[in-house]
Amino acid sequence: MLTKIFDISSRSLAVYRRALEVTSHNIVNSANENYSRQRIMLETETSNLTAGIVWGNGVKIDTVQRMRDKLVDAHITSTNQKYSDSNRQSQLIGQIEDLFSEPSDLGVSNLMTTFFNSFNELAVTPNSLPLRTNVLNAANNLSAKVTSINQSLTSLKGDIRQEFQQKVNEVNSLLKQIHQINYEQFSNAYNGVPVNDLLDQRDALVDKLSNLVNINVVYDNTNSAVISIGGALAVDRMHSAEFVAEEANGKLNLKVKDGTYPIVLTGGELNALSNVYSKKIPAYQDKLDSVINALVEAVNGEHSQGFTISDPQETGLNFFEGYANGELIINGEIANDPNKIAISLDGTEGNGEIALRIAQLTDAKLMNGNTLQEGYASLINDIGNDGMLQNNYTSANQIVLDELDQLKASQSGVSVDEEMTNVLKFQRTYEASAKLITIADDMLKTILEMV
Amino acid sequence: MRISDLMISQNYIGNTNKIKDRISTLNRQILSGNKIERPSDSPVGTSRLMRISDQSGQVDTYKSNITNSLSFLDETIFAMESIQSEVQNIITKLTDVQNPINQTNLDLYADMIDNSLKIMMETANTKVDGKYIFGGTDYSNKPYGISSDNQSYQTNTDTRGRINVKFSQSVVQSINLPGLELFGTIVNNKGFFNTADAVGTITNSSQTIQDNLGNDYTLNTTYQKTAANTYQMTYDIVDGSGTSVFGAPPAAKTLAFNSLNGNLVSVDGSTTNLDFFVDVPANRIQFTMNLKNLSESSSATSISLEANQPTDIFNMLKQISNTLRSGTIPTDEMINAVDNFNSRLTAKQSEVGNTINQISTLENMLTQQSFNLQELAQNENGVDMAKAIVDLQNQEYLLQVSQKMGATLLPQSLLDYL
Repeated sequence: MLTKIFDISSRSLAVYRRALEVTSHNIVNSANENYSRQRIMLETETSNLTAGIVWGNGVKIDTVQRMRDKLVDAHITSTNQKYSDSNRQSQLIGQIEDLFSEPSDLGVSNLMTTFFNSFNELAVTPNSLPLRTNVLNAANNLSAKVTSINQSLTSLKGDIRQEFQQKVNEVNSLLKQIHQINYEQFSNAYNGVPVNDLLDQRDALVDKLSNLVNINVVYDNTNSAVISIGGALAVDRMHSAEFVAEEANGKLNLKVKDGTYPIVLTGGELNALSNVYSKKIPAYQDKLDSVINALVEAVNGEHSQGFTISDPQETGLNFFEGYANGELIINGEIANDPNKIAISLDGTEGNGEIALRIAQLTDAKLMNGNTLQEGYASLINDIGNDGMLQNNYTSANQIVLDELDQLKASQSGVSVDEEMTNVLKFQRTYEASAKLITIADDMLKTILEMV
Repeated sequence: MRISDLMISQNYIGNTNKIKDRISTLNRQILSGNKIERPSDSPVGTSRLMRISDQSGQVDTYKSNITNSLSFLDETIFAMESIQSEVQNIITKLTDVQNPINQTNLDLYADMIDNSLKIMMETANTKVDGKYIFGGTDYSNKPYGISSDNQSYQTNTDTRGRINVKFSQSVVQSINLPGLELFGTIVNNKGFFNTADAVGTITNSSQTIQDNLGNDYTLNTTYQKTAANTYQMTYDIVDGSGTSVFGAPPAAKTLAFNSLNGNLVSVDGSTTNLDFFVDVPANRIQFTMNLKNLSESSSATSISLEANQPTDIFNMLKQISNTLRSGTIPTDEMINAVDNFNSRLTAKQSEVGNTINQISTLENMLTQQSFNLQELAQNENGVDMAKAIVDLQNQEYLLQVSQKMGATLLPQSLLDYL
């Protein structure tokens, strides 16, 4: 039965050559984050029973296993959605905070104070041209800041809309790729071609997708990923759906192409973009509008009662032309001639009663029992709280994600030490098997010489 | 747990990132000196900071209002002092002319009084920072001038106005002394109407007044009750022969009283102007009718008129000088009028002095408030430098240690020993 030694040894040589191949595949991919460590599973070849004795037939490869924890993967998918949602929102709200430049001398709050104070100072010497110019400057600064905030918010919305569109395209492209891999892995597996590396690719794509939008992933009996977005089927082995971005009533929505109803977004960057675009920015703008409208109404209400000190004297002038389309416009006549600031109650040029009344508007409860400053502060408070909340969510999700990544790395990451040990182990076995062949050869020779 | 190479490098990068993040935050805080840089750093702190900065902006404005007003008030006091020194000079001269020895050259005294009068006129027209200090709020012309025929003095503008300035959240204070109250003639309508009077009841009152040359006229007022708490007032000025100085009788004024406390609420619908100026250029009659002291009560109706002086002080002095030039000594009424003016001047001086005191006290308060606000802002937003720097050093130390650790651990594997 000498040939059996040849048989066992040569099979062993093939098995350990393959094992070393898998090990080297592991080693060179140790820096590839999407790679899952592969482990070669060895088992004994089926033994046979001859003459009442069990004869071992050596070693064989059972499978090359891909080390992956499905449960961790599912957790990463759901945490990714939350993390990228809060992270993107916190970035966007950070941008909005920058626009308001609070707390600083350049914010609306301080400019509003300066505006009212300039009237207060004007009341001391109502006919002073420098003090009148001061009022005008303060008003110009306020109007420039308010206008610039509104313009920046509008252009930010434009940017968000564009980004949303791009991200939807990205979703579509990812879905197509996943569909492709679903199909390939099925046919490869069917034909007995190894699919481990394809699956790594697919997991990386699902990871990317979960950063963009809320998805639900299940695997069917052919190991195809079946993904739905907000309840709508996005991809399976046979199909991949296409999604489109849509703006309706000031809201950004995601829809299945040719679909009727918008998809409910709950996570991912798409949700962050849609939420900030459709809810946050309009809410901030509404609040700013109500503060500025109250200011314009109150200041005009007092100012229109006053008399100018221009020649000829005028009355009934509004200080602000109005506040429309986010632009706070100062009455052109006043902007050209500070003497047309109408603060005299009785028409004499030394009277500053109206200026006093305008200055006192800072204490007036003009906004449902709140002063203008309080109304504005509540807006900044809203922005600050939204920002803080999203920052906190981001760091909380970051911690969870780090933890999950560690778990994943623990399961799927390559340890060079371990692989090197395997290399040694496999090498030695390979050497031993080779030696066995030589020994068997020697034995055969011995027998042959006997003849 | 199985530890893969990826875990070690992820761990290393994650932790050094955290340290660097803390270092950059501390660095930013130390450089800017501010803890709160954006609302999300501390939403509550931000609103508090905004409120503090709003308040401190207001306090700064109040302080600058005080500085500007104090210089104006100082000028007012200074002007009043120089007027007073002239008036006292005149009073001495008026005593001197009582002495028969001095009565031989009354013209000399007339000259001296004319000189003082000129200085007083000049002072009364002082302009500070674009404002006539005794001109009320009407700066369209010099408040006091001489008539075109040089015979009398006249008030050119409305000198009643008050400049009101806000000095603190709750204090709005007038900073000027309207010329009318010091120099002008005010006819006070005093007394009360009986609420029980029937609608249609008529009440009359009268007072002797003078034109700018010293001629006597009679001012007659008539009040007729037109409805509950409402009266119509008409007035007329007649000369010695009983002829009215008005071509057509002046328009009637409607007075409305508060039904609960009986105070005068409005005149012709205006709640702020409870007085009006009467100017008859042809007869050189100028005075202000003050209705503020009228009220309604349950006692019997009793209304009287009372003038603070027969004519304004400039014309009174002009009359005295004219009298002296004509070789007679001034009458007791004339001397009394000058004495009255002097005591009114003293009273008004102390009024202005009080205002100065009041806003100086306010200034001290505001300065204190401003310090307090600064401290509050510091507490809210200031960085504790010592602590921040120690923290920074600590983090830098941690970073160095972890880098050293990384440098020893990361490159090592079994490979090194094979």
